[in-house]
Amino acid sequence: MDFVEFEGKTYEEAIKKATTSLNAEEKDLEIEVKEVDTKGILGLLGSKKIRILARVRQTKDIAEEIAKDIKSVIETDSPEEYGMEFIQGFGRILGLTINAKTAHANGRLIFYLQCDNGDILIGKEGEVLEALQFILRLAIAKRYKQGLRILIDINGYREKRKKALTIMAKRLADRVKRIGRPLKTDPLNPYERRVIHTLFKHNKNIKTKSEGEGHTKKVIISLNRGAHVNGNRR
Amino acid sequence: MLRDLIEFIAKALVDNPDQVKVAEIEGEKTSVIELNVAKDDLGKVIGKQGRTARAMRTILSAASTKAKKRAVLEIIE
Repeated sequence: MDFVEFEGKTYEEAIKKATTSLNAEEKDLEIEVKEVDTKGILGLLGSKKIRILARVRQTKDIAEEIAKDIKSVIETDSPEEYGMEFIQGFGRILGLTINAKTAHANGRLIFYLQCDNGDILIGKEGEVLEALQFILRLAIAKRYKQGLRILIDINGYREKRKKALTIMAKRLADRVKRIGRPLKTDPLNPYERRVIHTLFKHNKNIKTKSEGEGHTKKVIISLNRGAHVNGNRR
Repeated sequence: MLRDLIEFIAKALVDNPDQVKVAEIEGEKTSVIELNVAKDDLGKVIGKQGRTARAMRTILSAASTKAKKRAVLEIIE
């Protein structure tokens, strides 16, 4: 929409004309003062006329506001909101200040938490984090009668862990190639195993397989027969 | 705090939150947290192969570290 010119004896008067004519509130208008023909202070003594240019604001502020409004209507009492509430409630009980935001990726609902005392919530090898995630998943499943894949990360722990696992797995794979027999990782939880399986998914030389029973299993890294015969790395 | 924590978690998991009762028996170094739920909800707080109970215990011991105490969770049948 183009700017429209308005004129008034005072700034307020010009604005009023603009809001009436454009059928919008002042806060939703983009306003440029074009010309002030005055001897005194704006809107006070001796001002003769003021010309402004106005148009309804179309920046993303409004788009964002609308998007937010729509979101809050659609997502009232959503797993996201409930999860946030759960996490905040949990933090309050423990006397921890937790900042949380949600995101969606790969079909998972992810809760990113920032917490000064995050180590408590991570625990040894992430066991507290896993427990918390398990409980939250159950609570969401209970309330919304549907299973939802969720992930909680605290202070970037999962990213760091992923990097460490990647380095470890690559080292193991190199050794496997050198010595020609399979090697096992430490016991890993499902998410951690997935990191390793995904890492070698497109690697023709390396095969990965989980071994064991229960929640944590070892991953066996071995050479893929055939590819290994002439050490051929395609 | 530990009592509230278990109550908070249990209430989120059961069908009958109003029947969740949690008592804390404080010892000098160790607290025993007794969790009572409706009979039909027992499975919910224990979980398959005790996984839910284990998760609650893990969280409880993390929280009790913060409170500089040891805590044990007992689920009352």
